[in-house]
Amino acid sequence: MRAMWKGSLSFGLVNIPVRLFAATEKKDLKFRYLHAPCHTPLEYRKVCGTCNTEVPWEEIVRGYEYEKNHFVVLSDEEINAAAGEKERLIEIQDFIKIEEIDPIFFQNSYYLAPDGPGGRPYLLLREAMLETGKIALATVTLRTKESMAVVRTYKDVLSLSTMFYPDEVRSVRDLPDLPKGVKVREKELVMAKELIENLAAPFEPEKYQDSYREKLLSMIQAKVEGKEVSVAPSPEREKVVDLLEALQASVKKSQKKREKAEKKDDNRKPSPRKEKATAAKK
Amino acid sequence: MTARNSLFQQKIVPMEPQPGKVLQEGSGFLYQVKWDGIRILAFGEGGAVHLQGRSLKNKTNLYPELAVLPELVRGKSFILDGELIALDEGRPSFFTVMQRERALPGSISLMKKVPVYYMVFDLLYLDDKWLLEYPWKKQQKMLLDALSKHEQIHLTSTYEDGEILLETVRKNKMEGIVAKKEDSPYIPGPRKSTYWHKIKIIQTLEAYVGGISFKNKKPVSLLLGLKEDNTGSNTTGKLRYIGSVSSGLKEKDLEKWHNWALDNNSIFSPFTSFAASSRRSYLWVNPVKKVNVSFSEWTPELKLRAPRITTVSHGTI
Repeated sequence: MRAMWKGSLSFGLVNIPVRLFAATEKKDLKFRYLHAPCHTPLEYRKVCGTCNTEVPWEEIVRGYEYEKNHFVVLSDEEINAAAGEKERLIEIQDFIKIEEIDPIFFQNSYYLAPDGPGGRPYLLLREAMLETGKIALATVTLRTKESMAVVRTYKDVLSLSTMFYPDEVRSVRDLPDLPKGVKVREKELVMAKELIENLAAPFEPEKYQDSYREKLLSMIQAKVEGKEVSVAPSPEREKVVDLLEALQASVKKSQKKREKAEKKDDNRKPSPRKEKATAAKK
Repeated sequence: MTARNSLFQQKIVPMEPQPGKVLQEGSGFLYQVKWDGIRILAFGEGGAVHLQGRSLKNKTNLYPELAVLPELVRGKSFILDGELIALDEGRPSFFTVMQRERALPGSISLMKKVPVYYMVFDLLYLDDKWLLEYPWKKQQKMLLDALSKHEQIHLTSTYEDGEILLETVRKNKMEGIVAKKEDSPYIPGPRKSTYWHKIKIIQTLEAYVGGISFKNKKPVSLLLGLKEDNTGSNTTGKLRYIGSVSSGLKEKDLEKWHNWALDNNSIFSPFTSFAASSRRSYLWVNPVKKVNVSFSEWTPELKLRAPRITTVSHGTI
């Protein structure tokens, strides 16, 4: 695992040096675009349509499109200035109960590991949070963006989950087609609740896996090993060998028939060729 | 001329048979199936292959399948003559192989969908030596010894009994047979040689009716088409136009077709390729009805020559 951020976790008067590691990873298969006839991976070039030239990194700046086709340009320095002279800090603000946060707020999860002398205070914070059953609400600046985050215990470690700001969570008021003024019947509710109880089970995420990825992977594996893979069931390939064999067999059969007819003929008496055909028909 | 692959500079018009009839045994002729496909001369030198068609066109990039030839021929250089075919319902189909002929080079999906087979019948050059003057039978022996087996490359078998072969080919609804004189040299075309004779069988196929053409408001012919994708995955239902036919249809039949078409007509032409004539008017129909058509051969433009309706395939009109 490679750390993606280094800073400190501030908790009251205590500063705990920590490193941050990604807690999750996407396992979606990545496909590259190739040129069909030669299978060469496509290159992506940054090209300016006005100057008709490929653009080197030094000539690229960031622009904000404040209205269609109108840009203001911000330099890296200006953008960094807006981020502020932030310390690399995870600053704990409040301790709350996890039930108070709806999962819809959670964005990305990271593991926190103590860095250098941070071992002891790290353990202390972890133990205290475990015993109180509380989690910490914090602010954190990763790269340029300042986020809300929670710091909590996960298995034996501290974890950090960044959160969306309240104004980033869209309102449910805009959701269409919600029934209004409809009452739920008591009897139906009882039945629905029974159904839920019947299906209630402990959370076992291991039961679920990405079957689409599994299928793609086994397909790729087969191709790599040189087996033929067909996506859709297709009728069996017609083979010219079958045709050739059929022709051979058919010719042989005709020949035998004729030989037999000629033999029969010879047993009787020598006869003109024309009569052979009649003899063959018998 | 460069020293490297200098053989590829050669241009040879393949030998052509003249129309003929089956000859009696003992006349010095041997018989082969006449494959209905695309005539290809395959040149091999230094492990590379060069393909040339009847009209001397370079077709190397169209049929990458034949790049395997140097591995199959025992000899450091060679020229093979043969026919490139593709199958539809187990039989050689000119219409099917033309899909490959017209495709852009390197279409991998089409290579899989329409595999081609090279049916080799003559050896013109082997190990830096021309064999054109060799008696055909001797040359055949050399070809037999030189070419190994491959799934997509086959040696054309030779038969002694032309009548039996013609009957077999007829039963299998194939194009015909070729008689070759066993002691003859190979004489490049385009003049038809008397050493080779072709005996053709009237061919038939099932075609879709895609429309009716009218002259002075009277129905005069049916417009025929075939679906191009013989794998059945063509969902557009579009037809390639293969010709109009009136032969085999009486006035009464055309009237029946007209009435049927009025009930089943479509605003849009079902054909992908159809050049309308200003002297005709047309009524389009959805391609659901098929007819059996006999014809003498395919034209280079992939139209039927001398088409004639024999029957309606499914039910009547």
